[in-house]
Amino acid sequence: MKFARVASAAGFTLFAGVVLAALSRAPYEIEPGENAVVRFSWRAAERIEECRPLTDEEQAELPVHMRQTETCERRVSPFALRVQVDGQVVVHDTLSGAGARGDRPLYVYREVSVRPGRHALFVEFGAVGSDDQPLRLDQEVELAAREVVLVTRDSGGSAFAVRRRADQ
Amino acid sequence: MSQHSLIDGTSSGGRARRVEWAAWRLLAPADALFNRIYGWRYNPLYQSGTIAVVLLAVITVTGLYLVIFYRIGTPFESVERITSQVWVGRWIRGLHRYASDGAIVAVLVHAARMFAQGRSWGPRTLAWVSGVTLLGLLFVCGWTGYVMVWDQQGQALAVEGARLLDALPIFAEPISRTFVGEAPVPSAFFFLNLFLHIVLPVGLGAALWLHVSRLARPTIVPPRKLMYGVTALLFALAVVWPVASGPRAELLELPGRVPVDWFYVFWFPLTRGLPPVVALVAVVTVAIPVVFVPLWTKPPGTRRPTPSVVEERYCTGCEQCSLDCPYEAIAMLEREDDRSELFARVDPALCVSCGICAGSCAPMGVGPPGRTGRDQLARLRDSMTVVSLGTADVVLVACDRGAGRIRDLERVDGTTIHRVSCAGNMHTSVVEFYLRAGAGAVVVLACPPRDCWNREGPIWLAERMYQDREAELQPRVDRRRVRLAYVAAGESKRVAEEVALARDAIANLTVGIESEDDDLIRECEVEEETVP
Repeated sequence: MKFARVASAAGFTLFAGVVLAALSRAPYEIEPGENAVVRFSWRAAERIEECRPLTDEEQAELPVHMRQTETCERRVSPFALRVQVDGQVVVHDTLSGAGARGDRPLYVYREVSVRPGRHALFVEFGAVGSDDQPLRLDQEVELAAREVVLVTRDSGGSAFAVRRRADQ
Repeated sequence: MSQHSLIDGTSSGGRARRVEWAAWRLLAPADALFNRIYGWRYNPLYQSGTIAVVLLAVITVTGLYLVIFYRIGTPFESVERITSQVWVGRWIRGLHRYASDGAIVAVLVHAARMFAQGRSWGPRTLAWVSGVTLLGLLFVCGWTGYVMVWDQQGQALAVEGARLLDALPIFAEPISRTFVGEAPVPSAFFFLNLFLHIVLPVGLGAALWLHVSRLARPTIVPPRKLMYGVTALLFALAVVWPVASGPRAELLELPGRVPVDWFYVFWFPLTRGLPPVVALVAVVTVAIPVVFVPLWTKPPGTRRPTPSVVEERYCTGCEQCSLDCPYEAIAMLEREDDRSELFARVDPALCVSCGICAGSCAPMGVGPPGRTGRDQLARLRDSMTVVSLGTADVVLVACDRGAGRIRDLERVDGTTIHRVSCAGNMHTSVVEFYLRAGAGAVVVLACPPRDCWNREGPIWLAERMYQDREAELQPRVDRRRVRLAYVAAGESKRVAEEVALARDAIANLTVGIESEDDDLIRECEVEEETVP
């Protein structure tokens, strides 16, 4: 009787241990399928600053040590982003600066899933209502299965750059 | 054969809410099964809380060893080096991992037990909330631990965590930018992650202290055999089935099919497909009802057990109730009149109404209203006017939250059922009363000590019956007619066995009495005369 009990306790303990170890490493497909991803990520901090002189009344309302001759409101210009993959528009958004006032830098983060192979990418990013030329990327990229290609701005911010694992 | 049922008027069955009851219906057979396999002393379900503490200790010790060799500049490589080159590093890493998994299981089982048993509201609110906090901290510790490894599982956890955190409007820059692949993940990130992984366990320690702070004698570690057994099992697993990292994290490559730890990553498939705000709302929607369990399981005022009160005129200042109270709810104060120096005072905010103080008080001057020793005896006297006991009758004293819930209990012929709210609440005079009333034997079916809803009821009762702890079962009571058995709610067969053993004892007693030593009989008579 005692042996049977010890044996059952040992058996159950072993079973529980194996279940624990198995659940600790059971496989899971984090990203199902073989698709690749084109990731668009960059930061834009081009600010618009609008200043005007403070009136005498406005200055009088301020503490003496905080009086200034003019006040400025800063905001990040809204930007338009358009992405085409193989001629099809997959992203078409207007992006605003972060923060409650919209005066924080703007961050672009988009991912587009594509099949492995060669794809034509067209990206256009520019301030809404600005006369400046928008940034453009018009390039063909070859993507392997599960590969992530990053489209970002170069260090100067004046052009797009395409980065992939092989570049690192 | 007849069957009677006497209820001491304290049945708290109605207190249990439906949802708790449903959980309890699952728990009771599991308890019975584990009792059969391991015995109540080593039942890991009963010891889930203490096992969690032991595993936290194992995690801490193994973690301290591992952190010596961890490098924030080369996280993946350093973990690989620990696994392949550091002395016993592979085993220590495996033990660290399996102990972390085991801790999650132990804490979840412990929380489920407390919920099913309705031990989550009132004075136990602090224990519940701190326990849920412990569980949350444990999850976050595991999260940061897996990110430290920086394999594809760690990468997925880091990216998902950043995605969820970015939904909160508290960061100046999105954390997700760290993982876009524009540049290697900076060491500062791994330093912060390591810092959290080390600092959070300090929070775990604080939460654990809070968790047990209202207990008089918290049980922190399980019995040694169980403690060593659990640790040895996990170490054996680490040796036989060592853990390994998945493929190295690559930000510009989608993670594929990788081994993941489902104890910590179980939520991953649920939140990944959701927008981050929706995922956060879902997490909060699940977390809030769990944290606020004490609020929604609290019975309405009319059904809430009332705290104990002290009848000062009976209090002799012996301090026994204060010593026995498992929740430090009874303080001894100085008396101002010329009687004993001290008298007991119950703090209603700390009292869970277990009634253990009623069982501890020889003069029967303390206890929840209606459940003091005096109340118990008065009710018995009343019930004896309608029930008569014979020498072949066995009285089953059953805890309302344990054996008292066995459905077949009422079907055991020739028994009288006396229900109590807790075995520790029963005054030992009740046992004597039954035997004096003619019962052949009294069998007390107490819950296994680690399963007592009031923590120490069966322990104190055993000492009162057999080791002269106040208020002790009087020496004049024939111990051969008294049995104390630890029976859980799911162990219906045990009841019949205990009744059979009691009947055998009665039968042997009848034979034995005929040849009993006259001196012994005289001795008992003398003792009886001297007892007031």
